[in-house]
Amino acid sequence: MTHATRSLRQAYRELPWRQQLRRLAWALAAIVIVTSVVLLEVHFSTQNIVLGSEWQRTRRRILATQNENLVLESRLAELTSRQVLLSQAKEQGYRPVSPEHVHYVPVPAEAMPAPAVPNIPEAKLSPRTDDTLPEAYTISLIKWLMYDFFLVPEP
Amino acid sequence: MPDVRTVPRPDESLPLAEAPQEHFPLWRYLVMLSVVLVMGLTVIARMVVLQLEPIEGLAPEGGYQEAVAVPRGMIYDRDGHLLAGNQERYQLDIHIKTIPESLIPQVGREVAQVLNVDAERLVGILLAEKGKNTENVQVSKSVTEVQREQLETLAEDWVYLDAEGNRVHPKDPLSFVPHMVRFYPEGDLASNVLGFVPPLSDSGVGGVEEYYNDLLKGGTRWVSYAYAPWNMTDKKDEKDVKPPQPVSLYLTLDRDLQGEAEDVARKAVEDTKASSATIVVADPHTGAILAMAQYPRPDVRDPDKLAAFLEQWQAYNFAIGRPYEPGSVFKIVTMAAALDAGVVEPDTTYMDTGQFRVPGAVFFNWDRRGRGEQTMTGCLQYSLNTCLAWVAYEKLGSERFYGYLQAFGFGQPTGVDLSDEAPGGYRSAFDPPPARPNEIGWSLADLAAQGFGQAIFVTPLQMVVAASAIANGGYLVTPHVLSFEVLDGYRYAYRPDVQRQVISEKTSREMRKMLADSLQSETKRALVPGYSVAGKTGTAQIADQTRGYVEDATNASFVGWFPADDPQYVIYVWLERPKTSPWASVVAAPVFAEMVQRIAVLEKVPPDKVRHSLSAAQP
Repeated sequence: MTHATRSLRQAYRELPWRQQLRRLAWALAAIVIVTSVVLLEVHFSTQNIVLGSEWQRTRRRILATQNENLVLESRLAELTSRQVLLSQAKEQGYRPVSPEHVHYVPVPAEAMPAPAVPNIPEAKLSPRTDDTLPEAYTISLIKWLMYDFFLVPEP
Repeated sequence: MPDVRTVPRPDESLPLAEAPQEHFPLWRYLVMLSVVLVMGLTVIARMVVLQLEPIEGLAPEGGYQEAVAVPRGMIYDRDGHLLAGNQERYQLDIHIKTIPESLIPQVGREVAQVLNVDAERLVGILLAEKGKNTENVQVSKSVTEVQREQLETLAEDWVYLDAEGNRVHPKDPLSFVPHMVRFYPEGDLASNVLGFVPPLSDSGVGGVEEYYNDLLKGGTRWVSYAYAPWNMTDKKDEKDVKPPQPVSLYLTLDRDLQGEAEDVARKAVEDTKASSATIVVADPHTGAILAMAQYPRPDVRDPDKLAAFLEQWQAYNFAIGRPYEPGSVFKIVTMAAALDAGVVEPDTTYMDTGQFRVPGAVFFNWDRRGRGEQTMTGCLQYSLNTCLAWVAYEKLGSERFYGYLQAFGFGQPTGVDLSDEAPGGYRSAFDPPPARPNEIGWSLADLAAQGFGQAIFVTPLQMVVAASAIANGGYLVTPHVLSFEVLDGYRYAYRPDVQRQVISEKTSREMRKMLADSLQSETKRALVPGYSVAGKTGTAQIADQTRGYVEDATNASFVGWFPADDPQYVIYVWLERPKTSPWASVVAAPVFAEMVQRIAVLEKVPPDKVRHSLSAAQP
């Protein structure tokens, strides 16, 4: 470092107002950094609140629709119950058959129809994929500071 | 680039050294700092408020949580016909605070008329509550949609005169809060299997409703919604692990088959004047129960009738809850055990003198006649008590006999997925001696009697399981009514549970042939034209309270399967105390035949001739 440079630095340091400015700058920088981080935190939190409440509303609508469907399904089942169908069939002149009234005609290469199975996909038996995010992505900054950085014991 | 050497010394005046006060006073910096500080602190304070302050209406632990009313899971038959669903009902509150006392009698009477309750009582309650200055009176929790519409129409005409003589409508006199209740669209069909859910409850009682209550139950669930990143992880506590929606169950029962079996049971009771009838139809290979009918059945829609039913019968489902001495149907178990143990062959002979003596007891045939020399097939054909007592007592012996009984699952629950299953029971040589002198312990007479189905208590379902093992090649399968469950749109199937092999394939083949042959020649009422069937009748005496047997009452049973050479359906029939005839061959065998006919039509089972030609045509 040259003498001139040293002199300049010395002069700069010796000026009290510059010192004050520097401290102010540090303080400002600290506040700006903290505020930025907090702003981000608040931003994401509020966004999540909005999304969460939207989810909540959607879920309520889904549940209400599901309940409505269940009630309608029960009503439909009542209207098509065995007793109702039997009485309607009797009214229309149908009568029960016994095995001797049924004629089977073997058709080559045709198998007997398999019983109908409700069309519901079978669940995969492989273990469920874990949709839990790692803690590093989900822990709050505050909790990270408290529990991981300052090692405050978790409640 | 200035030459540094020309820079003045520090004590000299420099342009840089000008005091900031001259161009940018320090106060401005302080103001700026204060502004930023205030903004920053505001943001931080906001964050603290958002993150740490509980939000009104939400749980303080963070995250959205709300109570959601979840209806109870549905129950379907194997084809997807709804057997148990949900219906909307309303809780009716009368806001008596808004109704003047002069109007209450009219309100009470009209509400009582619509709800079909005692009007005077309701009016009395309303007036009493009005006197106490109560705001609301809850009148009912099961108001239907139709009743609600009627009440709302009536409420429009409720008026009273105020102090100035104006006609005034009471403000919101009624409130209706909706909620879900259990509903059985098929009425009492399979009510003995399904069980029921008492009004205003979410806990099933009896049958499937009770056994699978944890899966089916709805009620109020807490649903969590994440609103902050750190709440997005799934908590692993019990509350969150439970599925958010109840599970729907698809049973192995077939609605139409169940209905037919119930019709046949009702008809059997009417025809034979029996006190009850029970019919079970099952798949012998998987243990799937296709129908489990009984008559009478509990009527879950009428609490009074239901209570009377339970008081009379002491059981909800006769097929699993009322063990009885099965009589000769049990001979198939004794014979299968003896064949499997190798102590007899189908053509082993027995000289029947009409009685068989053991120390302390003499056993006779059902008609007290002796039939001379008989093969084992003949013993089954003529249902000889003496022969099967001889097989159990002399050929098998207690160790082997009770070993087989245990292997067949007698004296223990079958493990069917229905609540309140009775284990049945019997005295055996391995029981501890009686603890008290007046108690009766096991004796050799028990062994001989158990050989032909007395001195042993079994449920119809235990007999179905044993017959299935005999028919299917010797494998004891756990009976079940659950076919699969559906959660979040996916099915989770029940896997048939083969517990163990009880008898060999060879024994199973021999038994199938013996039972088909014996039926052909002796119990013609069980036969169905075009179809081969195998089975055994059973007429059992009924024990009374005095350790003896009732004189004029029997339990008539039939166990069998069809087609005889390729068993697909095991059928069990139990008629309790038939009056027209005590004999199972007269009253129970036709019921079996009737069931075979109905199953053949419903399940499209072709006659043997067609079936064999189809099998021959297949490569």
